[in-house]
Amino acid sequence: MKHFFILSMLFTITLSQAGSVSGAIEQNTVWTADKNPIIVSGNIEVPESLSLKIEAGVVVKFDGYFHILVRGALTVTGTQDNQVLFTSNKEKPATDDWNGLIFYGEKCNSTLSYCTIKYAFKNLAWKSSPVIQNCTFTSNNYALYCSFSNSAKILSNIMEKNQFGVYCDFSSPLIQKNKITNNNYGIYCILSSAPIVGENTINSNTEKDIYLDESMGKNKSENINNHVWDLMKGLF
Amino acid sequence: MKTRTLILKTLLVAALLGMAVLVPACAKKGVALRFNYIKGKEFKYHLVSKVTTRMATDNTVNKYLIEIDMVVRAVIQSIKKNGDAEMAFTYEKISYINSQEPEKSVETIKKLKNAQLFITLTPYGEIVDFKGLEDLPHMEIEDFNLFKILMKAHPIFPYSAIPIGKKWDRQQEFPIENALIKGNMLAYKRFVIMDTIGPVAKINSEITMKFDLPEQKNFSLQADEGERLGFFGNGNINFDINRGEMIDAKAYVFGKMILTLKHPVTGDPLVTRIETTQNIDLAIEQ
Repeated sequence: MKHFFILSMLFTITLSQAGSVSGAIEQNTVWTADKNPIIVSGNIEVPESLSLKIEAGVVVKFDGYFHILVRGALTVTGTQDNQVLFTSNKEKPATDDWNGLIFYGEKCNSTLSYCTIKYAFKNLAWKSSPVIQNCTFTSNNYALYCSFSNSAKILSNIMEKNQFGVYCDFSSPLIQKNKITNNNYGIYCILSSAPIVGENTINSNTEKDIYLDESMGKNKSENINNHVWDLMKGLF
Repeated sequence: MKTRTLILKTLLVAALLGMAVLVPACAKKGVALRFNYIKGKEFKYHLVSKVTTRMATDNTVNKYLIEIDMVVRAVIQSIKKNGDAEMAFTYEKISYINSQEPEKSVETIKKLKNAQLFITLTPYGEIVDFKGLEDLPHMEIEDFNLFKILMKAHPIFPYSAIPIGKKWDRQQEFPIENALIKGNMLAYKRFVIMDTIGPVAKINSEITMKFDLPEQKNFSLQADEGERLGFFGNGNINFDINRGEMIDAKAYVFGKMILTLKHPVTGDPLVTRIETTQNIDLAIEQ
């Protein structure tokens, strides 16, 4: 067992030196552009007490259906001219190639600036309050899915050609100064979600620019009733 | 006087004897039911459907209503060698009440009025083909889906004459799809001619509709306590035997079930009791 552990460590270190990463980080970590591209070959976790910083110009490629789960802090510091890119490692990339970035729990403290996120299934903020600004989301299923997240800040981003731009359930994030166009749905809100929406450009979304399930201001059970009625529509 | 009474008695006996011979012959031969399609013939369906749904989660109950009153114009475009009729339908008048989404109705109705549906029916009333709604947004137009309404209310006849009171069964399957479910609905109908009044056969139906769904991970649909899973009900149809045309049809179906959803993130079960009734009233206007 001890030998297996040592071998595993060696294997991980070897992969790390070649720019391939997976597993939970064990100390505060910085990814820099000189390691490009960083290939994600398994799920990555940022534990509660630790931070992962990704600097301008870093290219992160997911070599399978993996995620970065952030319980601690993720700081992405791209610049307007030198963005951070999260994308698929496939030769012919497509939506859902990788799982997504997951901002998980109340102790998650994350900021994303000037990054581009492509081909993910779902970038999720669950019971967390990430700040996401000046980023571009393209060809994802859910560009950003907020669940039980009332203080997330989604500012000055571009969301286009995703299935959903911002999807909210039980969530009320601040959605301001974004350009949300050419998605299937622009903003989709269910189950008591009441986002604060202002100064955005939301148009040309195929199904609907903004969908609300009329649950705002109603109790949880009534919201579920309305949601179920909505889901079951067309059955009879 | 005696002679006259004797003649009357003789005629009466002869008449009774004649009936005794004829009635069993009719009953044995039965009533032949078949649609008589005439190419180019036009008629209108006046169709009223009312769906009421009660949703209960914990102790909170909400009620929803969808009511449609529409006139659909039908033209028999062609008749195939096997007797099947290809019919084209257009929505002429639509009145729509949707307690949840009143603002949607204007937009949806506009789309429907520009649509043309094509249904192929056999001489026995089976729907063998349905097309025309494919290019319209599926979720918006399902309330108006003529195919699904006809599946419940339309008769399907036996292939040979059938005696009054003798039951026959027919089954059809149709796809169902909404934001949650994708599968099939099996519609079983048991018919019986209750009576014939002049040329009109009065037919009753028992309706049983069951889900045929692939196994799901995100939800479960179960029968409510003491109930069966599906929709159940009955209907009645007036059919003009001589003209081979339906005069009117009514159907009532009822379903009671429990839907358990998993919250997409927490996995917590969200349990909702659903009760739905649908009343359909269909009349043919020449």
